[in-house]
Amino acid sequence: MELSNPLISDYTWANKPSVAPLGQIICVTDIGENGSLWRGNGTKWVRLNPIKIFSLSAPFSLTNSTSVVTLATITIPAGLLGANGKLKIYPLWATTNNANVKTLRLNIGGVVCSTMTSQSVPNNSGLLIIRNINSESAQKCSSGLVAGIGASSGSIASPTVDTSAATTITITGQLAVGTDTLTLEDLFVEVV
Amino acid sequence: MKTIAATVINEVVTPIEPMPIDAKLIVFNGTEYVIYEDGDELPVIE
Repeated sequence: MELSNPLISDYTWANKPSVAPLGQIICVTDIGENGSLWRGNGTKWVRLNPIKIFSLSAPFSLTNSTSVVTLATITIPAGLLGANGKLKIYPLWATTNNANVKTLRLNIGGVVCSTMTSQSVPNNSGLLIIRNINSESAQKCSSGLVAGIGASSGSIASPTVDTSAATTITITGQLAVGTDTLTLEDLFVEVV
Repeated sequence: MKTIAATVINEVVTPIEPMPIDAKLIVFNGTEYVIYEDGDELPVIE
């Protein structure tokens, strides 16, 4: 039997209907791995599930430099997060296993939001969370964590980036000693 | 294999053009971004 569901229409994020009737479900074809489902609440479209919006296409190695180097750039479409949306960023990164410091930083809208450091281990798997707090222009994220979650003596970062406009997330790497290597093996980003 | 030049913006080294999505490995070697593609011999990363 031919699969058919005339009740769910396809839109892009840019051309989705401005009205969001309560209970109406649409598919946004350009957000998510193979599109994503959104349900109207009478006022706006609300995502039905977490959405993976970025996946690193190839490992990225940094060496022979002590500069801050861009490893990945991710564009968050305007208004995708909403006033209480969260961005979950999962880096997997390998480093030269010695006592020298290697640093991975997360920037949102040009502002450093989180910093992860690594010493004397061969790899790190982290989770960095950017949280919109009741506003599309007010974020909070923890800082100073080795792995991105857990206890931290650092203060909570509070950027004020307007995510109602398209927003750029940048991941940078930096070596304290240029002969070391930092490799971003994988990275994916989820919106919840 | 191809290379993409780097520039410095706000004290951050940044590629002058977007990275390709079909690379096998990207290396910043201190000067430029080296893009390894299908069929290229990959360097040993230590």
